[in-house]
Amino acid sequence: MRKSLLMVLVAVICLALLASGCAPEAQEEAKPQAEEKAAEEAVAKYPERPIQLVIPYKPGGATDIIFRLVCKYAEKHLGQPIVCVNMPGATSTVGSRHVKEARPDGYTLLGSHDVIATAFYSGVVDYAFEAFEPICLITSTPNIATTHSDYPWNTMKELLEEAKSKPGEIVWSTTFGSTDHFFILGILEAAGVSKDVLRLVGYEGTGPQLTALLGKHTHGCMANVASAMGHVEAGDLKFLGVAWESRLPQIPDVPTLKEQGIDFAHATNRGVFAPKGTPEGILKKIEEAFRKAMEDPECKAKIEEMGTLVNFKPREEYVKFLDELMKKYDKLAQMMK
Amino acid sequence: MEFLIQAAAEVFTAKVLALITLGALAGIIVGAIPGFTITMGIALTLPFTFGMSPIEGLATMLGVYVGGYSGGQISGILLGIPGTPSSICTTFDGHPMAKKGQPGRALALGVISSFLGGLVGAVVLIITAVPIARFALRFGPWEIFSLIVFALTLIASLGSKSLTKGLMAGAFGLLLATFGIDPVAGQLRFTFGLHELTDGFEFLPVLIGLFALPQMIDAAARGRTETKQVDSSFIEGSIQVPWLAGLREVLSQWVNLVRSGLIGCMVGALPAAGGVTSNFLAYDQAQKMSKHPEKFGTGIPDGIIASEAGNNGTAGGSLIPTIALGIPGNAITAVMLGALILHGITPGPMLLRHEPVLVYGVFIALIVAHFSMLLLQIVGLRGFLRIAKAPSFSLVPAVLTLCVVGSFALNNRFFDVWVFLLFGLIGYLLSRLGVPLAPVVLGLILGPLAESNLRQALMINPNPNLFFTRPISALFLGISLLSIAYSAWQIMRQRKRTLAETG
Repeated sequence: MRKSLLMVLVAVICLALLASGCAPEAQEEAKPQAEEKAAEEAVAKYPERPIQLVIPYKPGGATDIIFRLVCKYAEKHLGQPIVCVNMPGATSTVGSRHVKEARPDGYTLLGSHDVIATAFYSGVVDYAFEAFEPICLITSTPNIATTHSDYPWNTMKELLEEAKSKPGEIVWSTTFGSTDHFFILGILEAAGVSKDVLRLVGYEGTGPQLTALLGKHTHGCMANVASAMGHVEAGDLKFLGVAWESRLPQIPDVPTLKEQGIDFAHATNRGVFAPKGTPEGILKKIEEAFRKAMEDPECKAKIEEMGTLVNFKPREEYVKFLDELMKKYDKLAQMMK
Repeated sequence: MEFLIQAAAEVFTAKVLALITLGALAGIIVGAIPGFTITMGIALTLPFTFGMSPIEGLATMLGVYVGGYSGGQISGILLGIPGTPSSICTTFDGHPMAKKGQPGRALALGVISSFLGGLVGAVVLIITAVPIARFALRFGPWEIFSLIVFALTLIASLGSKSLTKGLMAGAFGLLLATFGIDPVAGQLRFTFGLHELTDGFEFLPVLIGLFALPQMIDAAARGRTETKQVDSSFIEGSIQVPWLAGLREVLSQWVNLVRSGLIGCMVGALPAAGGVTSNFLAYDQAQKMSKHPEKFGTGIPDGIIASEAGNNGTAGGSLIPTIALGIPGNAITAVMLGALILHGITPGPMLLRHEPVLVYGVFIALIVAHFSMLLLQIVGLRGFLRIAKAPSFSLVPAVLTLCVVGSFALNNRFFDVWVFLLFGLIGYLLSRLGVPLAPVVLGLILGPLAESNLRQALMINPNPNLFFTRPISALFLGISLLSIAYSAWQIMRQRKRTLAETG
């Protein structure tokens, strides 16, 4: 009996070791000159095999759908399939860390957004955009302050006025440490209101927040056209203000926050990232494929149907864009303290 | 009516029917493999639906969904390892029945209960989707927390042999649930500087570790001689699946069947609950209402019927908020909503008005998927039964390989394989010490839900009395008290009986 027990354990351990041998390892070899040529060749031949794009969220969410869609179009221009892999968890850092530590050969990419900055500022991880090679920005989804139709406020300004007169009575839901947490703090700061006038309650993700709002357990949350439009059409929810420079085509009647005297714009900006040190030539090829995908009218139409704006920025512009973004989040992070 | 006919015309085409059947087949396979989840299967289906019409895409996914819920019982009954988390309770009676030499009977009971329980859920969905979804919205954090408290009292009946060990196991599960990022405030807990633990222990590797590894160690430890005896009892007289007898048996317990299907459906309709909770609740209710509760867990049909009708009822139930409100009832329906959005259809309360043909199409496809599942199971079960005959030396490595691959594939990271191995060893030790494993799983699943809802409730309003003054919440807390009292009474009665017998 002992013997067979031992055999099982040995079998398990062998399996585990075997599988771990297949897992990507951190690159450690210093390249002699001969290998430099090989590296150049790798750039010229890229891509030779399928590319993995890590989505740091569960399947079915906006990030998942947008990247799966865009990759279907981008892979046509690369000649190799882009395989989307979901690695959800821990404010998206399970997936981002996997890519950060992957071999910088262009075969492991990350599709993510502003959460890379918020995860850093809320202390979940100690790295942000600088740990990656940003390739390109593809879309921006403007965020919208949303409430239930049964409540009296019609704009964010009205809601904040009431909040000031009775601090702590209006309940606003957020996912602490994620983009919507920074969204509400940004609004409060731009409106010049103390952050204590709202009672912030933590929920995990947008779906549960909308459910709580529909059941009138909370008073408001951040949403976007895709997640809340159906409820607005049905008369259950209403939009209080769009955090964007201009009004949105799908909801022309909803004023921007700026029109209400709250100078604050906030969108979820999705882009593609590669591990630090990926050769510039490979980055260029990926950028080119995504640029063509975002120019495809069919792809564009599908994204716009979801209430998201196509906002392509090539690598150079994207790097500058992210610098600005970090400054904005840095300011908001000071408020959280 | 006119929409119904239009919808039927769209579903009853060769292409859609073939897609549903293909989906159901894929679902049964991912469901049957321990470590592969239905969510994974549906997510893999998603890219294929890009090129399909909305109803074709949804029909395929419904096939995977229904097939998956019925596939989980196959490994649960034959190997004692739940293929999906939502078939944990099926193993309680299904595996003992198989070990008694009636694997065919257990599988027939499970498949038929899945089929009929799923239809109960589908009927409820079709008739009352909108009012139920509206009612479910009234479940705020107070109500959900009290419901979870009720579900946690099941620990007492799950560990009925020794209450102390059951409670210990439940507490261990709750403790494990606190690892990783805190669900409300986003702070890190118990990560010991390991970034892999940022998100705590992934549920699935823990589950298959606890259930699969101890089973496999036992199978290997039995050795060749003993296995032969077991094998022969499996082969002789039981390669046939007694479908008609099974149907008769299930129908004779129609109260249990309908109740379990309804529990599955209602729990499925609630935000955040899902197949695992409904599976446990249905099993528990069947046991408490039974005339012979002490026989549960020994391999009686009642337990299999309750568990399988419960989890397939959840399929229809979780579509209730999805269709009526555009709120996904679980991870699986979330992917389905994603597919809708991708086709430019806005899910939400207006869906039924804007896209009536599509909604009726989903209803019809759900029912058709159940028939496809039944058909595939009738054709395929005899093949699956061969698993029961497989000798340990080929079965054990095969199952372990699948477990390792499944743990890895879940998040595509190797850490989860270590989690699987660690909990496999813990599970083996615990089962050797006679500590029941189901309460660990229950604690691990319900812990985060209980925590976040309790904290949300107190953040929205710091007054704790609301748990007792909100009627639905008070009702659940009341039932929890009854549930505890019932278990206490049962334990007392059992003790007296054993005292009378021995003394």
